[in-house]
Amino acid sequence: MAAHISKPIPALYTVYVLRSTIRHASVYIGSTPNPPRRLKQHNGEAKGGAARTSREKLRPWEMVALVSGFPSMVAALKFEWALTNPHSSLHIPGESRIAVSRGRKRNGMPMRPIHTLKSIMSNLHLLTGVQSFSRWPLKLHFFSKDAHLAWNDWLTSSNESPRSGLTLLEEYKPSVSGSLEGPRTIHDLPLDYKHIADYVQKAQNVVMFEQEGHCVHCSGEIASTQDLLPMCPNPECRAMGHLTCWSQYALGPDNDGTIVPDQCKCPSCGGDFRWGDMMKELTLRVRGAKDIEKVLKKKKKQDANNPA
Amino acid sequence: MASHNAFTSPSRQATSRDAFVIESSSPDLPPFKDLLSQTSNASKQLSKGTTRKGSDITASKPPATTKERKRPNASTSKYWKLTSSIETPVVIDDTPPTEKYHNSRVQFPNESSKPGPSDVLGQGHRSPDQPWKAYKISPPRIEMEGGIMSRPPRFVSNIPDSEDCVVMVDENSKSIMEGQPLETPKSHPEKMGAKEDPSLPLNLEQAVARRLDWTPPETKKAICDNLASVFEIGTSPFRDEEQVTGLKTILAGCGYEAPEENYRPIPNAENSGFLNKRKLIELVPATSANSTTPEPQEESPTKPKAPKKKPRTITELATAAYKLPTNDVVAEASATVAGETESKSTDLAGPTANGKAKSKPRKKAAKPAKKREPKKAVLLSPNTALKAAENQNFLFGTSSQLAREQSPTLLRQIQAAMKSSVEFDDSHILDVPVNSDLVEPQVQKPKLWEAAARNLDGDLFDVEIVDLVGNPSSPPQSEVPKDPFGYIGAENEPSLPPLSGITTDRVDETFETLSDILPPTNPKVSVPEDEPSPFSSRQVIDTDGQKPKDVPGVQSGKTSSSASKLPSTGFESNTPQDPEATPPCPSYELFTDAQLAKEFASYGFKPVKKRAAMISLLEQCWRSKVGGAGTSARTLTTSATAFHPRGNPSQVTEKPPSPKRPRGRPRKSPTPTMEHEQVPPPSGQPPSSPPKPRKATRKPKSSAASLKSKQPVDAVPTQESPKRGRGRPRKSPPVGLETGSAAPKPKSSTTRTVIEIPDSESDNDDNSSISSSSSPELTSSPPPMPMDLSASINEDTELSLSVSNSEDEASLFEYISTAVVTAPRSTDPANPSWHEKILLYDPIVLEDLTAWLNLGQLTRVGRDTEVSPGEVKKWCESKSICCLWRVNLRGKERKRY
Repeated sequence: MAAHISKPIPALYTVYVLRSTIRHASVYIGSTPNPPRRLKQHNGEAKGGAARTSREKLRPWEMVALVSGFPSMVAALKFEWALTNPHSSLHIPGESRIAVSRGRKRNGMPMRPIHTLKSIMSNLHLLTGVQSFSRWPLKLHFFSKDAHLAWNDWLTSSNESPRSGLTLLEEYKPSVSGSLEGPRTIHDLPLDYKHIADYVQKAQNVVMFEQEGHCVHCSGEIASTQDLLPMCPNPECRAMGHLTCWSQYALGPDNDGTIVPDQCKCPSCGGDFRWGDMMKELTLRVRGAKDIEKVLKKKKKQDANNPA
Repeated sequence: MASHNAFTSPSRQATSRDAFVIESSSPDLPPFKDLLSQTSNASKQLSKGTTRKGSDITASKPPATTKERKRPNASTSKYWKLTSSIETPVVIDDTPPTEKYHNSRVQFPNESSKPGPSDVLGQGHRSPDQPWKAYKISPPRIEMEGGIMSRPPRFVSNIPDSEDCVVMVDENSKSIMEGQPLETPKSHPEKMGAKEDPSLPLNLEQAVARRLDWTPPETKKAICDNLASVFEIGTSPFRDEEQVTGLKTILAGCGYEAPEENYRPIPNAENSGFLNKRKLIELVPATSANSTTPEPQEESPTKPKAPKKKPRTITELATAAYKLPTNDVVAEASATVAGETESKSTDLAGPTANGKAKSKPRKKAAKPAKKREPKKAVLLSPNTALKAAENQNFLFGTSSQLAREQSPTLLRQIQAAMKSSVEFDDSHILDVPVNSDLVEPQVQKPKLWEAAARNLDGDLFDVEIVDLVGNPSSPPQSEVPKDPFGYIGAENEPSLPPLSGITTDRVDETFETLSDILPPTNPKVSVPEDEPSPFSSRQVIDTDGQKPKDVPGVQSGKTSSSASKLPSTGFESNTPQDPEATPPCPSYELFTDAQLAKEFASYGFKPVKKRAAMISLLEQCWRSKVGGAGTSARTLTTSATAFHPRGNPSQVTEKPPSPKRPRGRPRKSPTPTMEHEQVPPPSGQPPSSPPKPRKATRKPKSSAASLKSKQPVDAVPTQESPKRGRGRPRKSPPVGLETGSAAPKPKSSTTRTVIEIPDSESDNDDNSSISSSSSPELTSSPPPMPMDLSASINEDTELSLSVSNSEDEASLFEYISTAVVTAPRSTDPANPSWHEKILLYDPIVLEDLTAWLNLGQLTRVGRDTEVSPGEVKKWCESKSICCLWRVNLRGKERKRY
């Protein structure tokens, strides 16, 4: 590990479900940190598309759904492979496996069952609840009503309930709260850390001026030069503490062996947040000096522009 | 002309100077010479008028010379130039040097007859016939001596007889060739000079100068040669004019005709004056070849023939040295030697028809039949290829092969030696484990065997063997001696038929010899044994009564122990023996720490850190368990065989005498026995694992296919699959600490494909299953750990672990979690602790975390056993921790994650 240079949690890494707008039975699963760019590649507007999406008759493709929030590229690739190979993924317990392969390929490996939107949604539901991925800070975005319907159909038909740890976002619907906004697309996804610029700025200010104070949890002294000190992501809350203390607090006293927290409630401000959001900022602060510079520069510009 | 004159002039001047010097001494004579005869333009120029005037007679000559030149021109410009160059120098040189010579030698008389340079010419003209003839002879010799081309032409020009000139040229070439002319010409000029000399009194002075001239003329000759072309045009006409017409006329007639034809070859020689001799010499053969069509042609063909034959003969000779012992070789050698003179085509044919016929057919038949044909056979089928490869081993060495091949006796001897050596090795080594290759097994195995024998309990192994033997009713030993090495037997049997069928009679013979040598002990019987032996024990059972017996025995032992667990095990016949047969003592040394810990726990012991202590304790427990059964088994089976299988499952072949069976048996027997028997002690772990059966089925299929489907494929896979998959895989995977197992796996797979498919099947299956499982998880090598390994292997899918060892895993996971969480947090944000990494969603490198856990962290938490990366992976996945292997699927270390 020493040789390895850790990176901050990516601003966005997604596993997406691609569907041909011409032939809805054609679906494709991929992963990317930049869905708009990747969609262009699939549609032949940029280099680097996949061979399976290269048929002109099936273009253009659309992303009907995607899963975001992967804490690393490795995580996204793991999930993508599992979703693409639900018949053989070891992450799926045998008793709960949905996809069953029929026949074997020439190399002896079991043949992959043909994907359909329904099968993908069913396996998405399965994989997001599987041990290996259940505690990842994932979000499921539906950019097509068909995808959401397929998801709901599967839930109803299997009497399953949506995973507690999975955030569902019906992007194809106009946001209920903000009625002014129309349906969101993949182009509205945050590709950089700009969406947490305020959060980053807040933490930077605290660290820069050495205002860490004491650990929120253990009240011990903390120093950003020695400790990993997550800060509450909620605005106006500057609660900081040891990483392990945060996790211990987030997991609660009734921890049954879970190590990675998911939902967390700030002891200071009482606001809820997801563990992944806090970790994103922490890793960015610790490992992404350049990224922070970019984010803060943009923020300054925006701040400068907005008042003007 | 001016240029020519200018060029010529200096040389002439030099000559003229000499002449002048001479002149000073004797002014009259030299100028006259120059004027009269010679080319020296200076002299001519100086005395052009005189020369022209004086040489009115010569006026007739110029046309002749010109004609001569023209004629060659007509023929070919090149020749003309050549000829011209020749002629011109001849003319120029001729006049001065010849005259000089004449003067020096002959000229004295001329000088003496100064007033008559014209006279000289006149003499030449006047008495062309006789004196010229003399001159004719002389010029060639001059050429020979001085190497000057000019002289002869001069003579030619001067000399009236064209025929003579022609003759001269021919003679020159010929003379050069022959070397005759030198003497004769000299004598002639001398004679001429002698004739002339008496007339002149002032010989002394002139003689000195001319002596000087003598030496220079040679240099001049060269110069003249260089300048020859220049001189030719300008000078020649004058001289020609000066020279006697009669000569020209005479020369023209004869000389022109001849020169064209004859000169052509000559000019080449004459082109470079100095090189002429060499070239001439060289040219002679060429010219001779050209000219003398019959002789040279004959010679030339003979020569090429000889070299062609020689290379072949050389090779033959080289081989002959090796072949000497055999009569055939000698005959061939003699044939080749004698046959050198003969035609190219009959290289091998040699001198005598008998020798040729014998040599050719023998070589062709012997070499191609054995070498080439076997290769074809290899191409035909993999089995044959394997066999052929084995056969090739016997025939190793190119040169030595040739020698050996030719003599059947040698082959037989070699084969016999091979067999004897093999047998010897077998006796010592006992086991030639998996791979058929001669090189690998012999040396290493014995050591392993010894070690295994020491460490393992001989009783248990013996018991197993006994069971096998007893059940089948056929003594394994008998089989063993026949084919110490499974491959040998396989080679002999399979290889012989294919080779014979494919190869020619000779090949068949060779094979026959091999077969004769090998089979005598077990000609036919051995064959079936051999075949089954390489294959898995299951196959053996189906095909041959003997083998099946053995195999079932082993399996039965396994099945008996784990009969309840593994109903599907194919060896039902073995079951009766099961009680007798005690499961072989597991090779605890091969167990991973985790496996040992489990095994240890199964006996109710608390985990001990030291492996040695654990192993010793486990062995004691095992012995106490097995007890009398092992002894009974020993009685039944031969002790030797019994030990081997236990010691090294991979070494399968315990029995020195029968190579085939040991492979098949030991592998199968050890693995199945180990699995079944060992499984029971850990009793809790036996549960069937779905993934393993899959693998087992897959593997058996492949193995069966490779095996030629002698035995029913279905039975084999079913047997293997249930046993291995259920019992071992689940248990083993957690145990599988041995990352190193991955390396052995590929080897085993390779071995399967290559030769020992049958033998390796059982082992290979285990290996393959391991390999199929995720890389690091593959715990221990399949053979050593029957119980645990099988479990680990089977669980390519890690899921099985939870089912089989849920309790153990749960406890282990708790330990791991505790170790990770309770570890102190790091004081360097750049190097977070494992817990912090996990909280940060960092991908966890399993090897690193495993190493960290095993380096005291688990002990700190209260767990003394080590964990395997596979277990750590399961723990990570159970905690939704993103984990990965240090090395990606392509075997390269990850650089970004």
